[in-house]
Amino acid sequence: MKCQDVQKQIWELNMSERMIEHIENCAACRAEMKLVKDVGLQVEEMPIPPQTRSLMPDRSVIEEVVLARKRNRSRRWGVLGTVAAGVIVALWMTQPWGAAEGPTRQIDNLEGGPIVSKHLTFEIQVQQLLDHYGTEATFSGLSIPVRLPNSFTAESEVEEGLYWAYANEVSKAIGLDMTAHLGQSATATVWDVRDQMPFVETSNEHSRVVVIEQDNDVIGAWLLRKGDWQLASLSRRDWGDLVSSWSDWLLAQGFTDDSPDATANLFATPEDLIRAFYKQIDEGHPEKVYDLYSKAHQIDLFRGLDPDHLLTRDWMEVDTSLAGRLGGAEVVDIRPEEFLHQPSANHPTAFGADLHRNVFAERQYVVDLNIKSKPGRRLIYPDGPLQVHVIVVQETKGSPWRIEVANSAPQ
Amino acid sequence: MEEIERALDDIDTLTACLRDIEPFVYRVSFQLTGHRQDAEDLGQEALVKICRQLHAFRGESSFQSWVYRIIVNTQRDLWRHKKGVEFVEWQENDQRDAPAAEGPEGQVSHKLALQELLQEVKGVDRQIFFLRFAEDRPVKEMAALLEMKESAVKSRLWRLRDRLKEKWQRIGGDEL
Repeated sequence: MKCQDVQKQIWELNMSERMIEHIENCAACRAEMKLVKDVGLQVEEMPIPPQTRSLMPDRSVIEEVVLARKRNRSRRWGVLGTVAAGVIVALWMTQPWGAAEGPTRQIDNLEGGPIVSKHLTFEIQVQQLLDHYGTEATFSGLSIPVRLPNSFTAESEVEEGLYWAYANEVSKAIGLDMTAHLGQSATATVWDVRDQMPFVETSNEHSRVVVIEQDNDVIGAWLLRKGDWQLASLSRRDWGDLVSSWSDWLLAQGFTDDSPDATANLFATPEDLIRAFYKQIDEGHPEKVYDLYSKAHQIDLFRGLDPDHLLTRDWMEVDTSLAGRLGGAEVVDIRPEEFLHQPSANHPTAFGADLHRNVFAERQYVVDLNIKSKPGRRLIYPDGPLQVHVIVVQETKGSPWRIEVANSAPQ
Repeated sequence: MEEIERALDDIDTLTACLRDIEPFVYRVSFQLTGHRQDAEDLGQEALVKICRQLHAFRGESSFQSWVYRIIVNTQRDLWRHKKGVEFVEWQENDQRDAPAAEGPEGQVSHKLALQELLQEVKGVDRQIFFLRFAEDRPVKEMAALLEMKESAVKSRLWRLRDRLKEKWQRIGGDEL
């Protein structure tokens, strides 16, 4: 047992009986233990200056919470039926403090009927929204400022635009559409919800819901699924239920890559694309590497939800494929390769998501590289020659070739 | 849970419940900010959130953990909104001027080293420090509260330890 390991466990508050025995017989570890105890004691004795004012919320806030609770309970009394519930809402609406907040707007359920009255506080709106879809928030953990792209396909923001377009599609399934808010600032709040949704397979302890808020109104909402990048509607409909096909959706949204900027990225042959792809890796331009991935692969990389960002800031960091781990790569040779199996991209699922996808064209190549590993990223291959297998696709007819997969194993 | 259910049904009971936790909220806020005014601002924001989200408490963790998590997240929100405005750390803290002497010599230098460290430590590191030493939270709980990986919490904690020891040795503590 090494002293450093024991000392780490002392700090981490995770000591086994063996470690306690070791500490008793080791002067260095005893001293470490004493330091930690001293720190604990001093923190305990730390003087706290008296408050100069009350921290209590305004009485109006407390009243609002109690009232909302009563109203929600009323909504759940199915025995009273919708007529009675309507009367309660109507009565509530006649209160002077309710009417004072201007005309009532509502989030409409596509299947009919209002879900949320937007004159309520944002928290209460979320509570009602989740309640409508049969779940409850257990915690509102995160509140992240976001700016919606100017358009879903804006050239400079195409990556985020793709995510927002994808998210808007699942939002629209519950009657919310963020199109009118493009280019505007908003707040993404991420809510842990009671995990009673087997539909939402997640590695997290809780399922999570993202709600986009602007000026105290809910303007978008969706469920996060596996890896935080697969999205589904609160009405439990996933992508496959919402769009007829991935390709048609890309075309309908305008992700055709026929903008002048995209034209500059058109490559005469897949080989040219592959060379450009590794050149960007070699020169350390992750944003350009990202641009050369297929749209399905780009969607797969939106998995960067963290306390500060709704979307990944560093594509290469979350790219767990070989390409994300390379610090440099020089292309030595490229040659076509037969598919060993049915081409993967022609399956409706891609990267584990049901995208209803059927790409227009797909080819596979063997590429001989000279690689350099990236500092801080684990790579099992030593620096030097490495053979990789690259699949390129055209998502739709006439769209440019893009990298689908670039890995060391044949597909 | 029953008490919370009751509190949510009655304005006076809810007010009393919030009043009960106000000192805890203020204490934690002060530890996390090291400054009275910032602590009051943070505590006030956190109490509003606690009030509005109380219905969401399901008893899956202790009430204290739930409240702590709200304070930590509220602080994170305040950092964002006050982008570019650093929280003043430990400047008006009475402890800074408090006599460090008393007790065995080792404790004095530990105390001075700790005071120096806390003048410098901000942000998530400060949250980790107080979760560990004021709340005795193991790494797993800290990671869950702060929505960080356990490995990240461990490495930050270890770096805090190195910084503390470095200060302690410079002040004159024995080599460990």
